[in-house]
Parts: sequence; C-alpha cells; structure tokens
Amino acid sequence: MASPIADLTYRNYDGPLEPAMNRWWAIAKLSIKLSIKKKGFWLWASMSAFWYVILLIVFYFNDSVTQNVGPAAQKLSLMNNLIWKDQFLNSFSESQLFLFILALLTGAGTIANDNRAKALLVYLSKPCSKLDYVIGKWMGIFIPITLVTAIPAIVFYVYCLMSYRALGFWTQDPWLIVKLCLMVLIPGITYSSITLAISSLFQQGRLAGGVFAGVYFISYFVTLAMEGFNASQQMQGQSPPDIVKNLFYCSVDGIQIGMAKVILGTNGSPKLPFPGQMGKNLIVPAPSGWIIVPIFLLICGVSVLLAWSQIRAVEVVN
Amino acid sequence: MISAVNVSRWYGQVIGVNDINCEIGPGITALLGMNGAGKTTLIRLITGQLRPTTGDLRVFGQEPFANPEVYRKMGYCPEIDNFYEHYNGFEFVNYLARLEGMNAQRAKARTAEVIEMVGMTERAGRKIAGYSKGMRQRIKLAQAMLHDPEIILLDEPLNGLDPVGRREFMDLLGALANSGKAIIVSSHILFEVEQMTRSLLLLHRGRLLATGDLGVIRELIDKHPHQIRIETDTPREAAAMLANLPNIVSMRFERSGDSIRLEVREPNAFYDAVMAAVLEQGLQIRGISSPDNNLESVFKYLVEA
Repeated sequence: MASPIADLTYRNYDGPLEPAMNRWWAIAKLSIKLSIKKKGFWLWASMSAFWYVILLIVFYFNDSVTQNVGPAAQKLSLMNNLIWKDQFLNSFSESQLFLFILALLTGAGTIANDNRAKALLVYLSKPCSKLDYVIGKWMGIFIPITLVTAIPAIVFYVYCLMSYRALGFWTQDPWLIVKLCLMVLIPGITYSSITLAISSLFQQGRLAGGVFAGVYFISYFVTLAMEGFNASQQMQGQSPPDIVKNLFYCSVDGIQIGMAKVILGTNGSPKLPFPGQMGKNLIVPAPSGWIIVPIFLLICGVSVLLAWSQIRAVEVVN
Repeated sequence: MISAVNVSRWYGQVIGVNDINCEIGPGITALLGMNGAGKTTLIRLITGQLRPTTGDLRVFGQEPFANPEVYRKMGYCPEIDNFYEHYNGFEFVNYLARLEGMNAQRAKARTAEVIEMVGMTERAGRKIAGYSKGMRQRIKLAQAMLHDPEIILLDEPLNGLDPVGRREFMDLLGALANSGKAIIVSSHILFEVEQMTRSLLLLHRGRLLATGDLGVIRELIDKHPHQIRIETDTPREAAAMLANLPNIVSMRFERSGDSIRLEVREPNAFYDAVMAAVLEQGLQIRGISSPDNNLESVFKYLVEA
C-alpha cells in the first residue's frame, strides 16, 4: 500500500521512449477524444445519416408492399428504375450540413484554443515537430468526420447488397464499393483542411467557428442561387449557361458534391420527394473531373500550408 | 551543455537579447533581470522556439531551433499557465507524457510519479480550471520533469507558491541539480534566487551584464567598496583599532550605538586583518556581517552602472 505521505524526492525515468514518428498520433487521439466527449458530436453524427435511414424505410416498405400485392405491382415499383449509386450521392449531399456542424464542433477550436492557451509553447518544446502537430490536428478532424460519413454508407451498401441484388444493385456498378470508399474521404479531407487553416488564424475557437460558418453559408447561398437559376432555366426548356453549372460547385458543399459526382461517375438523379420532371430540373450536371479535382486539391493543399505557416510557439513581432 | 556565442535576437526594431556570450553547465543557474531584460527571450532561444537573429547558440552541440532531438533532453516550464482548462492535471501531464514518446502504460505510471514528486497527487483529478496559481506551477514542473531531461528551464517558477511550496520546490530543484542536471531558473525575485543558487546570469536591457558566481562577481565590482558591519559593545575602542587596518575607505557609527559600518576594498585581506586584531590586540566584537554581499546589492550596482 502506498504511503499516505507524498514522496517528494526526485526519481529518474529509465523507461524507453518511442521513436518520434508516433507523436502525431498522440495529438490526433487527444483531439478525437475531446470531440467524442461532446454530446453534440453524437447528435449531429446521427443526424448526418438521416437520408440513409429514410431510404432504408422507404425501400423496406416498398419492397414489402410490392411483394405482398403481386407481380403487377412489382412492375410499378419505384425501385425498378433506381440508379443505386445516385442514392449514395443524394445521401451524401443531404448530410453536408450536418457534417459542416460536426466540423465546427471538432475543428474550429483545434488550433485556436491552443493559441489562446499558449499551449503551443509547451507542445512544441516536446520532441514533436511542427509537422507532427499539423498532421495530428488534421487527423484529429479527418478521422471522426470520415468515420461519420463512412459508417452509414457502408451499412447501407451492405444492406442493399444483401437485399436488392435482384434489382441490379450489384450489376449496375460492381466497382461501387471502391468508389464509395473514395467518396467518404472527401468531407474529411475538405473540412479538416479548411477548419485547420481558419482555426490557425485565430486565438479563439468561437471566432474561428464564426468565420468558418460565414465562409460556409455565404458560399452555400451561391450554390443555392445557381441551383434555383438552373431549375428555372430548365423549366422554361432552356439549357442554363455553363457559368451557372460551374458556380454551383463554388462552395464548401458544392465542391464536395462535385467531387462525389466525379468519383461516382454520375450526374445524379431526382431525390425521393421530387421523382418526376421537377426533380430532374434540380439536377446540375457533374463538373469536369479535370477541373474540379485540381481545384479541390489546391484548396486543401493551400489550407494546410496556411495552417503550417501560422503555427508557431512564440508570437514573433515583425 | 549550453553555449551562446554573440547571440542576438531582434523583434523588428526591438531588441530582445543583444550579443550574449555564456556557457551554462550542470547545477542551478539563475537568469536574473528586470521586466523586459530579455530573460524569456533567452529561454525561448535555448528551448528552440525562437531562432537567433545572429550568433551561434548550441545545446548539447546542436542548434536547438525546431530540433526535436534537443527537446528530448530538455524540459520547459513556461511562465504562462493557462493551459487547457477542461483537462484535469493528470490528463494534461499524461497527454504530454505520450508526446514525449512513452507508451500508454508507462505514461500513466510516470505521470503518477512526477505528480507525486510535486505534491499534487491528491489534487491531480481536479480540472485545471479550478487550480490556484501554485497548483498550476506544480503541474507545469511535473510536465517538465516527465522524461527525466538533462536541462530544465523554468520561467518564473516560484510565482504564486506559498512559503512551504517554495521550500519544497527549491528542495526539488536542488535535488535535480545535485543529480547533474542543468536547471535554469528565470526570476526577478532576488531573495528567492539567492536561496537557490549563487550562480547567475544577469541580463539588463537585452545585454548580459554578468555571469558566474555571485561572490566572484561582487569582488570584481571595484567601483563600490564592500560594506562591512561590525557589532561590538565598545564601538569607540574598536573604531580606534580598526582605523589602523589596511583597505578601509570609510567608517561610521550606526545610530544604535553598538555597531560600526565600514567600507573596505579587498574584503578578504580586511577579514584576515580583523582576525589578527581580535587575537593579538584584544579587539572585542560580537558579530560581523556584509550587508551588500548579496544578490540584491550586486544586481543594483551592476544595473546602476
């Protein structure tokens, strides 16, 4: 049993120290731990899967009803003409707002709070480099957001694979699982890069969060406006100008949806509440991969570099 | 362990430290200076968080700036203490132990050990937000000692500690110094520093005014004769005898009437002469002290110069 009197004498540490390459993981793990401690994280993470849940319920009842009624009803089933990969695209698109809120929760304060507490003085005096710090913080946002994106998509994929092979789930696109694995990385990469950059510019998490929200919503209104303009042009039987299609993807949401369309190789199809011509009018064709992929990589790369340049233990007066 | 050759650091047009030359080895070294003297800048240069504008700074023969190899052998206890307020003390130190490269099990064990060393075991489970200044100082020292570093730098470590805490802190630093580590303590509270060490680096307006042992530095300050106070029951007789001794610059009776204040040069020679007077001429004295042979006086003389 330990003595109730504290032993204040100095004792040496003679245990081993792991190589420096594992430091980023300690930083990432702590960031993840802090994120998942928040109740809001679990709330918004659950909410982000709502479209998959709706699809599961609709498919389940549609399947049950048509099987009970008979072959004639089966021919009229909405699932006969379904493009399966578009269901993933639609769910991905619908989850964007929730993923943004998650990014706010997990990422906005990630460096700003360290700046405020001047904790970098201590962290960067430990045997971890600035690169370890940046990678650790980036992964601390990327891992939770990617898991939140990936888990419902994979669950939905497995459910459909088991239940709807007869309806062409497998034959429509055998490479769908590979494409999905790439698609689910997009929000993680986007949000971790952008939030890291914004967070590194501020001394307060709330201020960084406010700026991030501003960037998100202002750019989101551009996407919404272009979507509306595109729909109105299509309803009048005219083809919208290319600038409208391109501007649609000029937002935090838009660029991710554009990337998802390029990866899945689809323009998308009408969502469930608007299955007819109205739904078709809302569809904006996929952007060119040769344009959107470099822009996406450039935005993420520049964001990480900005964060890198801002991170320093000591505020240096120029 | 640490060597600086003509090291300067500028912040734009403001000078942080100017042309610093020094060597720091094992033991406690006090970094002294008034606010803005450049103590924190020098510590940040040594901890590799700033790069010298000019000059060559080496720690274990390597440049410390952005050099994790050097950080492995160094513990840093900064002046600021507003770390993540929502961690508790144990979590904070444990996280930094993982950053030092300990595996989960060893990190926990070592964290418990260093927290005990700084007397925080009972309070380690509380959130840092509820810690007093003294408790934060202890936690900061705990994280600096985690990996058993060769050099520990402490920026104003005694601020906010209660008297018992200060004593414990000083004892711990003494033990660390005795085990061959270099402890660099920055402070402007001279009385406390004096209790810890006689080895000092004195900075003023970015320049290094003096470096080395306090006694040696005091002896080298020729401009100010050493003050010596002699207590005696017979001050007039004693003054008559002392007036014949060499190196005395001035002599005056103190108001209390039982002591004489002398100003002398070469105090060691004077002390020998006083001893001889006591033994051979029957000089009666009750006590002898040197009021300006302390850090405060040395600091004052050097800064005023």
